[in-house]
Amino acid sequence: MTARVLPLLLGAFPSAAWACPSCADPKDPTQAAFLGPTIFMSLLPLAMMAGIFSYLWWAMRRPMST
Amino acid sequence: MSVAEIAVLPVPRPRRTKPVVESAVLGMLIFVYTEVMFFAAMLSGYHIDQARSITGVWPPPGEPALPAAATAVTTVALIASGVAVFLAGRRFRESSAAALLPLRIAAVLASLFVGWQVYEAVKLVGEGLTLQTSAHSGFFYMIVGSHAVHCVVAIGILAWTLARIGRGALSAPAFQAVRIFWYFVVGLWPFLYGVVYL
Repeated sequence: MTARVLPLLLGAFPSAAWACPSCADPKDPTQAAFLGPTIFMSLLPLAMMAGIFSYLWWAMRRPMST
Repeated sequence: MSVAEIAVLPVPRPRRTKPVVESAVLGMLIFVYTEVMFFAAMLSGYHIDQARSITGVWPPPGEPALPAAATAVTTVALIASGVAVFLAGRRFRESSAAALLPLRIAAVLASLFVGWQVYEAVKLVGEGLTLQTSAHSGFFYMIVGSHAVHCVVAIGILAWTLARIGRGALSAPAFQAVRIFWYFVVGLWPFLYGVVYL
């Protein structure tokens, strides 16, 4: 029973289990350096898509020139 | 149908006879989108490598110093070329020939910028800073070199634009697409300069 439950519990706390395959050491002080670009690279495409769609929306609503 | 009924009929919206956005402009916007992601990926890698520097010193000690002050001057030249292209866009509305002078000035300014980049790279390689020296130097040449390649392409497109204007064959959407690419190349550089040189 313990052998089955314990891994599941550890899965809920990956930093305690050192279970993150890409982050390696959870106490690594450079983890913030990974976090910043991850957030940046995740939000940048969305922001640019929002920019293009906003431009198209604005272009559709502007009065037609003759 | 009575006159009163006709009066309350909805007035149909006039049909759009022109595309919302010209294909050249939309295509260039999507292309610039992919280019932004390309440079963002390199900057992210640079940032992570900087944080993982073993010595905690960045750039690594012993490497030749990057010429930040001189490059700042050429940065001003590149930004001025962006202003010149902006003015060319405004003049183009009056007549395409009126845009020739600011476009030529922009081409000269951008050529000065690229010329300095090449001179700087040759000098740094002579001082021992090569792609293999460190992760810092590798990223430096990758980021700055990629931007310089974009500048060369932008100058080539500007030469094409000048030739088309000379023949009176440049359409307004094509010129707008050229300007978008130029603004991208100019607008990107201050970010790269801030990250890599400062």
